[in-house]
Amino acid sequence: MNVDEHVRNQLRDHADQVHVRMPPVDQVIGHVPRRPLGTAITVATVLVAVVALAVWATRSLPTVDVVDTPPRLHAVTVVDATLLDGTRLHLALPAKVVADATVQRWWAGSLYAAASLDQVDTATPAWRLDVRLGTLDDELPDGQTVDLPDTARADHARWQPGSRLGLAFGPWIAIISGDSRTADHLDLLLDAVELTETNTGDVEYTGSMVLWQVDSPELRLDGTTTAISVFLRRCSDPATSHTASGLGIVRIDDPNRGRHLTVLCSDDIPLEIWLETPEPLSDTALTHVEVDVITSGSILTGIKAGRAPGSRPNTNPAGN
Amino acid sequence: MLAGEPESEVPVAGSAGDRRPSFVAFYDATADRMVRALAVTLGDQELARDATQEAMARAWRSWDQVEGYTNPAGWVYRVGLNWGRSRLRRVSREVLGRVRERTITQPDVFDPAAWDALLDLPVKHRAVVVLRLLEDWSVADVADALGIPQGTVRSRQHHALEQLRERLEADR
Repeated sequence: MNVDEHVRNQLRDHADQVHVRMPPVDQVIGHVPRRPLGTAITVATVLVAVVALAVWATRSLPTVDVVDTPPRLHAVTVVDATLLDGTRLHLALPAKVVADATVQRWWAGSLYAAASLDQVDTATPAWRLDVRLGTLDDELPDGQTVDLPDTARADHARWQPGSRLGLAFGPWIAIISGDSRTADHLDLLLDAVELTETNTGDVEYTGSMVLWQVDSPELRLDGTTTAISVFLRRCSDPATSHTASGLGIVRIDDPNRGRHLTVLCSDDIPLEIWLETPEPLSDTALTHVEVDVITSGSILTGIKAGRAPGSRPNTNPAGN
Repeated sequence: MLAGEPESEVPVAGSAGDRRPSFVAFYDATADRMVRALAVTLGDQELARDATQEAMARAWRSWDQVEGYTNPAGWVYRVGLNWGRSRLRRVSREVLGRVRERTITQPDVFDPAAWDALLDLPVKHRAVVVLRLLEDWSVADVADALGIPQGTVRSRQHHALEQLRERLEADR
């Protein structure tokens, strides 16, 4: 039997019966990636409805005069943030900070070989894991392609000797960096690291190695003039003032970088949020800022329980 | 990730007007072909269309760069395949393996045994078979598209066809 021809004919028969067609190119050029068109239309419809409702409410309800402070200074945008460990946060942040901080996103964490968080293999080095949307072509253009074993969880891998290992999971890439990567370590990482896109379009670490906090943001969003960083740790500096919901506010000016840093701290949750802005944020602008934990992931749960798997490397561009 | 934000990750260089004609020509020449190839690889026509749309949208946003690649269609196929596999992986976890029955539609004029055997191949092997035998791409183009060495393309094609041969002969 000529299998090649038989398979080729079967493939062509099947391909000929594919009835779906691509939409006109204008529709694709206007398409927002990572959200199917039907979902995008639904979201747009809901947004229009929400805006219409807001306009109606503004006109129908009694107005509240805010003396001395224009309403826009109070404006907050409510956003959901998911960290690699599965922690889901509900954040109400100053609208003007959120609006700009969307150009590039990084998620980060530390990887430890272990059977459980309480039994970390200290003989194996820890690695830093950085995650973002992208391709290995862009991130490791000079790296060598790694032929994946069947046990590997990634779609593709690329290795930059002496530097970094890149793994691709669908549209997401994971960059693993650290001090030591022998052939055994490479096999371990290929077998143990996995990313999964959640049903909300976020990414989550679902590998078998322990994921822990890293000495840089667990989530960072860089904008053209602002940035938002989320750390899973307790604040060390004393708060100088508080938001209405009780979050501590610490201000650190950095004239050399031309940015002003506002740190928001929670007394109850090991969580620190940095807002970097070109101008200082006033207490008024921060009045309605709030943070809620919707789901505690493995790192947050571990910190609350007082666990500590080891040192925390800091070797990557997402670090501060 | 922030909900409700504009999802622009790649700043676009150059004006859209400069890039548009070449992208439109590329889209017209390859979009439906990519849907067909991804539909056969992923076993799901709707998913293949979404994956191609996703990949084409990304290609447009990075067109200054993608246009310069040796095989831009290969880049689109790979991005679409990765995106589609990610979706399948997520769905398969949600429905615990019922995804195949839900998503795969068999054509009418068909050898069911051959199709079952194809679907039983790992996706990475099926992708090689589709690009080599359906799209008639060279080993070098397939290697470039999938980001794997040429030797791996040959070995995957060899193993895939061996597996198919054994299955088809056993069914006769």
